[in-house]
Amino acid sequence: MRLQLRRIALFALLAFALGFATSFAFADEVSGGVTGAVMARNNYYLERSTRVVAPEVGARLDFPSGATVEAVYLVDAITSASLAAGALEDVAFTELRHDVRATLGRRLTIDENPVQLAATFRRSHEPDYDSLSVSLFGAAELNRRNTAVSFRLSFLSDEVRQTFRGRERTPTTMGFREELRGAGVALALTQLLTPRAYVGADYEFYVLEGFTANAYRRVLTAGTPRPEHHPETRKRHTVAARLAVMFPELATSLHLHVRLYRDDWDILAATPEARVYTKLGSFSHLRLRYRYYKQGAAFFYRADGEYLPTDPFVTADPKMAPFQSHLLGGQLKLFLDFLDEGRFKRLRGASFDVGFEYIFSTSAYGNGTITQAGLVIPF
Amino acid sequence: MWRAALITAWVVSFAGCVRVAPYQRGHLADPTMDVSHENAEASFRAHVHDSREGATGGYGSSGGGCGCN
Repeated sequence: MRLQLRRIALFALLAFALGFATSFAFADEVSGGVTGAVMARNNYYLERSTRVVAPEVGARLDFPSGATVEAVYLVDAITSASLAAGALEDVAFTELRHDVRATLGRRLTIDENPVQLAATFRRSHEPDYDSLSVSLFGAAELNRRNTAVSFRLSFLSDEVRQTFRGRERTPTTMGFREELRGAGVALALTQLLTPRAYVGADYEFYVLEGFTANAYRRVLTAGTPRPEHHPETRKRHTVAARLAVMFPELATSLHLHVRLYRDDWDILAATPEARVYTKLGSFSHLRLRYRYYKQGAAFFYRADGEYLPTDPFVTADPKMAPFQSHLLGGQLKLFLDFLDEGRFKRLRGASFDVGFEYIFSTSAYGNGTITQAGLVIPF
Repeated sequence: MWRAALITAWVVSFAGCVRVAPYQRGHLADPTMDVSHENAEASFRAHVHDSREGATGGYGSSGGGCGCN
């Protein structure tokens, strides 16, 4: 199966590369300039035993031929004292995760219907984890642009290692090395309902094969620590639906989203979410967001944590346990369109946002906060 | 799960009869209705949720390390 996945991914990549090469070759024949945007963002996540600071920068170029190029670089500075992250003793350590994402895209028209194709390559590296993923995306607007359909094919190839940290601050990498492969398909449909409303639906199937446990966590079986062991395959199904309605008289939009999830580890989850956007004057809006999440347990999870030596699968993963969470948050977004003149007029069209979200969770991870601030400058 | 998918597809397919003309789409193009500009912030948020919850998907793919299995 692994060989087949690689062959399919290579074939699809080759086909897309040929398509993009053609599109760039014709770019000079079309008059017009290159447009795009640059982006800078800082992300911050905090919970009881983990803190993540993740600044990112990115740029997008739109060529007159319809070709697009986008690149994003993110670095995670993860500070943790968790045993599940490789801490040998009760001491916090910081490690970096470098994440590079590049997307090549092409916009074209087929029978008067706008079509978009894109390929995304993503590489993530940290001392004990390497991830390489490729996704191919296609979208078409049909029915006089009242209907949009899209698909995404994703391929994943990860390598998991162990790096232990103690008080001496010198990480120790063991000979442990495992692999995780994945492939998935996602289909989406969006339909305009009225001049003020649209609906959408998504279905996603993803299969994982390989090492799906944590490289550090141990489970006590009859008083003896044993490495966490999960099934080596996982098939995940996700269905989602959304509705967006605008109320112009209130300068407010309402977005409702619901997601249902099921996998062959018997985890069932439901995630309803509501967002309200309210305009504050001509150049800003406020977004309020509420998200509820509830999941059941994996079939091999034991609430009492008392596994038997004969149990084929053992886990200490909080994500395998039943829990629920409530997320409450707000975001303020400012559009700098009022900068018509003066030294900052180059920022006209830019947007700045700052947001804060609090997660109340009954899981073993506890409560958490997400803080984000970003600036996008078009050119 | 399949029942939910079929019901959703069935409801959405009825909407295919609807036609909204281009000149009627001013509100739909408003930044509060078109959330595609939130992709960058949504990507990090999805990564947080994927590494802390058993479920995933429905918001676009995430990936990477941090136990997003």
